[in-house]
Amino acid sequence: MPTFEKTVELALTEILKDKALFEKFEIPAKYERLEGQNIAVKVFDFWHNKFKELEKKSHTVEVEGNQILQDKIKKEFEKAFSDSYAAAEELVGLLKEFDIFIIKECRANIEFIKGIVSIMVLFDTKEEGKFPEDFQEYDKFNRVLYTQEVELKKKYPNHQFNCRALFYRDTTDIDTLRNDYPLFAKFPL
Amino acid sequence: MASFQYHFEHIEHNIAFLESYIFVKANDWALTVMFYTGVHICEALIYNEYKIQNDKGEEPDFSQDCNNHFDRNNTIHKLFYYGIPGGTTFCENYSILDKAAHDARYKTYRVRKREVIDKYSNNFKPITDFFNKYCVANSHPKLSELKKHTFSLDDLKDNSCI
Repeated sequence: MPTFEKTVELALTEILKDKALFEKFEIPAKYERLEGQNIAVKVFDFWHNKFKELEKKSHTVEVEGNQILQDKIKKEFEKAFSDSYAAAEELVGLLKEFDIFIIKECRANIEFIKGIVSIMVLFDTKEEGKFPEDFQEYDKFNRVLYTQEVELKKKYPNHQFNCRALFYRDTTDIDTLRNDYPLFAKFPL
Repeated sequence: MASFQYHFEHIEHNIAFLESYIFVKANDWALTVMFYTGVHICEALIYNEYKIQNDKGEEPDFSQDCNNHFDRNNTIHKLFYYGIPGGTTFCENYSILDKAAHDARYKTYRVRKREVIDKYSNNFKPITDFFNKYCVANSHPKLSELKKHTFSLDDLKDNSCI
């Protein structure tokens, strides 16, 4: 492994190859100790100062850049959460109009990079022992999900919405559901 | 992109499969085949719409090739949701089948016989009806008649899952 001194020496030798180019400039130098390599030392010194300046600048830029990135991500997160909550609340509001059904739970998932918001509404029939298909309104209920997706896309253009509803008694695998839709909306149902 | 005729043949092929066996034997696969029949219907429609615009010398503002379900949904929505009578309902029906088939396959939710009958009557059949109307309007042959499925009262009460 080359020592720092060796590295500097090698750099100086490389610099000397372009001696003619550097001699066209008057270069101030702090160190002129090395005999026969004045130009190289001056150039190295000059380069080193510039390098340090650049390093300092890039560090500042990096810190500022990270801050800008963090702020942007934070804002995106906040917006995604607030839009998803509002969208879920709107959807549930529309589905609640079908008074033959009870909304049991509303869950969601947000895929931040893709900008996809998935909303899952779990519902049951109000009348015990009945199934959704027993009611003519069930078809309209299903269509509301798609119509609302279209409306939500218009209202919150930063996201794509995927709205679903499942019959509560059919959802035997609640763990899969919680995994797919980890966010539980806490608004009153 | 595969031709209109290719998709047309696959629509008929899928319907034959649906009606011959799985419709009565496997609820989850019945939903899946209904959906994939819908996929071929969408692809045929997209192909034809692209061709119509191209033949007129217009530059279509949509891609003929859909890379995934998401792209296909967007293209179908763009072409039919507002632009053609029955288009809105067609898009809704296709989306309902898409979600039902996806949940049946990947989410391990159980699928009741009643759901299959519901999706067949309210979503799948209207999709094939829409396609047939489109075919007639665009001088293409219609699909073969779907079998007359008359569901008995017992079928309609059947909440069993497969």
